[in-house]
Amino acid sequence: MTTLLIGAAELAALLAGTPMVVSAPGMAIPEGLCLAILHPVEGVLRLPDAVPGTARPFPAGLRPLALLAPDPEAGAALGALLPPGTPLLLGETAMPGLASLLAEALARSEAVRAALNRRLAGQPAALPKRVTDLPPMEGAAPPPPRLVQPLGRPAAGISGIALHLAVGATDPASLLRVRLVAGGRVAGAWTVPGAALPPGWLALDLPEPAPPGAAEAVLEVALEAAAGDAVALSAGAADATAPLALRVEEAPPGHRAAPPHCDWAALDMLLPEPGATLPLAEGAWAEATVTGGRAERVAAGAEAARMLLALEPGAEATLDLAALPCGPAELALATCHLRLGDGAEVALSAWPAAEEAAARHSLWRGFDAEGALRIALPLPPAPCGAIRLRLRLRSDAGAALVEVERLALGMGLAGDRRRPPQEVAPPPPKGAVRMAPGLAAPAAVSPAAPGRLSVALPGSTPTAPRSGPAAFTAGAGAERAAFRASPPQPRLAGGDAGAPVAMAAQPTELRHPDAPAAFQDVGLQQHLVNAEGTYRHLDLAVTGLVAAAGLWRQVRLKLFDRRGTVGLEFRAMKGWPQMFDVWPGARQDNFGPFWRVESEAPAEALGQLATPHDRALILAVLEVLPALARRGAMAASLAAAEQEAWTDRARALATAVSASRAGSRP
Amino acid sequence: MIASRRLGRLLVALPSIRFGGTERHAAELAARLGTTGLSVTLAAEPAMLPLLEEALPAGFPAPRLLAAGIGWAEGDGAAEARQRAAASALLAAAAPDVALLPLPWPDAGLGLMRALAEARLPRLALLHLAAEGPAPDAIAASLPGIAVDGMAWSAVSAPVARRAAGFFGLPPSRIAVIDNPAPPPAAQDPAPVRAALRRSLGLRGDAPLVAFIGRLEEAKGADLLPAIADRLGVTLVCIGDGPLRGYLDAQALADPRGMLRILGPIAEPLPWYLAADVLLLPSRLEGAPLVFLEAASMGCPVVATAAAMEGLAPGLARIAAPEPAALAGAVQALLADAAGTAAMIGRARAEAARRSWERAMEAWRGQLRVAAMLAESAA
Repeated sequence: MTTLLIGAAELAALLAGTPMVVSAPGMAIPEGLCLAILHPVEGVLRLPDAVPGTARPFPAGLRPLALLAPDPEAGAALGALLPPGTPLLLGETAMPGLASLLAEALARSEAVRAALNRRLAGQPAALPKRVTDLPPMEGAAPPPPRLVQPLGRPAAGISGIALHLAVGATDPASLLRVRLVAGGRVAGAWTVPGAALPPGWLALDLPEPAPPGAAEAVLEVALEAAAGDAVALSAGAADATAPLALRVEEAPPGHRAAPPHCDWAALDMLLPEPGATLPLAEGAWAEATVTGGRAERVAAGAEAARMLLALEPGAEATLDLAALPCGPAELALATCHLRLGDGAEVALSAWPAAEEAAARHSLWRGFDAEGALRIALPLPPAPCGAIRLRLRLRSDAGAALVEVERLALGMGLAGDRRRPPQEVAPPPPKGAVRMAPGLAAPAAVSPAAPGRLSVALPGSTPTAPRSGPAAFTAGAGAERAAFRASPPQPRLAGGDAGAPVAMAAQPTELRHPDAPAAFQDVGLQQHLVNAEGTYRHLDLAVTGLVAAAGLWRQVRLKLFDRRGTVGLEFRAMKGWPQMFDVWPGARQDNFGPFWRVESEAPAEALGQLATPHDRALILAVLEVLPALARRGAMAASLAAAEQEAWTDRARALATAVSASRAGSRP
Repeated sequence: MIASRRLGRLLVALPSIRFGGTERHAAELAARLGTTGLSVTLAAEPAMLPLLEEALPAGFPAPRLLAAGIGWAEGDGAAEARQRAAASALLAAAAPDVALLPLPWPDAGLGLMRALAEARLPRLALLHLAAEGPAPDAIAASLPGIAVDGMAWSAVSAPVARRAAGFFGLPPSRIAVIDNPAPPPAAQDPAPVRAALRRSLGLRGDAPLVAFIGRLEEAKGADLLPAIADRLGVTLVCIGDGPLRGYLDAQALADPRGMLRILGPIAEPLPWYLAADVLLLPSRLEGAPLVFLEAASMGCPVVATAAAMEGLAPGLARIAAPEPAALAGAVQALLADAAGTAAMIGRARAEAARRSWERAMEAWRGQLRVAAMLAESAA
């Protein structure tokens, strides 16, 4: 039975994993050991020179690493007062035994850690949740190639974003650079080459959700189109400060991804101001090599030394810098002065370290009338995080002396600042139509001939293959891939409530007349239950509703239950899409016009639908309504029974309307 | 590994014996070069030092002023030897890493050039003026000793650079042209200044006024001023001093209409650019005339000879032949052409605005670096 206590501070250290041994009186302890040595002091184990204070019994299962005693008697006397099983090491030869015990303790600790890792890896992947979804607006002018897009929310928890390309890149040399910035720090950075820029949604995942913090998340976007490439992003509205069409997802801590195109080297870096120059470290100059000319670095006064390169007539000189970490830099910058001679030219090249074939080159550039020359060369993607720079000089006309004032990496200029996606937009211009996410580029849509329209059905947007360590993607890959064209929740469509329906994998002709209606995505706007429990609704936003008779890029509706009467409500107000060709009925309240179809007397409401297209809309909605209801109820985190109840309400309404159309009551 | 060096001490050796635009420029340049951590010594004849000190711009580190017998005058055959003799003490006192030689005339610093070449010191010559014609005999005689290839060269205008290159046997591109800076534009309302200065001359507020500002010598065309005033029939003020001062004073006294007014040297002539309707620049030889740049900054139109403006772009002044009738006629034409004059003022202002000290200093520091590299390669 343990009768010795342990000091509170010593116990805390022991609980924190500090290796501790107990030493009997008279025991000589070798110096230099990274061990805490406890001594019995008036019945309490304390560290040497510890201040007497609170003492506690040993918690169950906890014991010192060993008891060190000079002889068996002393060991037995003290060992009886320690937790059972405390190993006893005797005499001057304690060290080998102690080392062995430490090794065993380390092995146990590693085994526990590995087991924990296995358990964590076995956990179901935390699903990301879409928190912003702004589809592209057809007819809206493409955003400028360089822009700043505030997200109107902190970056904390963001696990991925997606941008929409109205026009895909046709030239692999085109490049999209995106940074997610919060509080001046890079939370995510991606460099996507033209080959990975097809039209449609482009998912940009973070390796892990952005860390906590209140700073607003801002996207910095730069789209560098190669000559002749019309690649363009999509806007989410049609006004001058329209936000990008974009999606934002967040995920709980522990979510992991191995995102393609991620600039790992830029992550978590403090972001310099737009336009800032990042001078080369002195070491980079020291390792520079020059061939074909004579070079010297000269400083006048306290300034930084500048490189001077002297060329003989007709010579070409090359200045090569060793690989440089490029971090968040976007540009290679060179500023040169022709100090003597005339007719000299300069060219700058940049390439990812060890991959010269991927180099970007400026053309040969001449000096201006003042003898100055400035080159800003967009950097190529550098997945390795390092870049090589080469400056070439030639002089055909005669001897020349060129001064390199600056050879540096730099930040691009800040782009146009856009409105956050949540801010109210000005009314769109006539003709602008909200597009469903994941659909083809606006150029492929012809409202005048919807029946012959070839559209990529939801989920069919070409996507870049995902790659990365299996440990990161295990259990999450399928859901993350879905982010490219559809939400992370299980996709449901068709008339069979709750049944997942596989989406077409390739662009397809508009649906066959007999094909069931389907939708791409549904988001929960609101779940409301009044205090008395007599009224409840699910406010749902549907994107990509497809039926044989039409395609509705956005639909919003409320499925409600008012004292057992189930109905659908549609509104004409800000935040609601234009769904009807002709607004049905004339009812309105304080929030504006609304139209309802209810399980009681649906025929009267249906009679207010003025066009076949509008009637087709309601039929399509009713067809998918059980699936919508279940998805909405799931999103509202309702219990399974309540989810089922909403599905039943949806089925009931659909049945009532169907019966009404057939001229009979259910 | 690429060699690296730092220039810490600069010697500006000015071989002038009288004070003018070259010397004012040298004082300002010496002070401004000190802003980037260069320790600057400005050496000149003892009599020049007070004038140089007065010309130092405010707000810049004052260079160390050092008296040295390095003055040069045209026709002074002993100047070169005197400069060489003074140079050793100068180099010992200043211990420079690099030297700058502002030269009022191409052969004004041959003794200094030779001494600096013998010391293998990086050196930069700054040529302010060079006349058309054959190389001065002194230059031809000194050429082997001054090691022109190991020197950096600069000039205030392309014509000066071209002529000097010929004198020293250099390719034209070997001499860098660095534009003289212009003062910042006037911030004050010219109307009260115009009225006050006319009152000081006893003129009506709307009386036309022509100004000459510069050294009173034949090279500046000062000898033409009495005849120009006589033909113009408007008041012509002359600001400056020089060998023709007595002659001009006498002519002014003899002028029964009082059209020619000799005001002598004025420490701060800028208000006269604001007050005058025209600046007259009848020079027979100029490098890059500072008075033109001052007039351009102040919005004062200029009538000049082609020689005066040869280092500047065309269209910045009304050009006339260097004779009284042509110059007087050009002044009258300018006064009669309000629209054309306004356009010309605008072009001149733009040129002045382009010529800032900030731009020039970048070029000057660049040439000091070039000097370091050329001296090294020559060695």
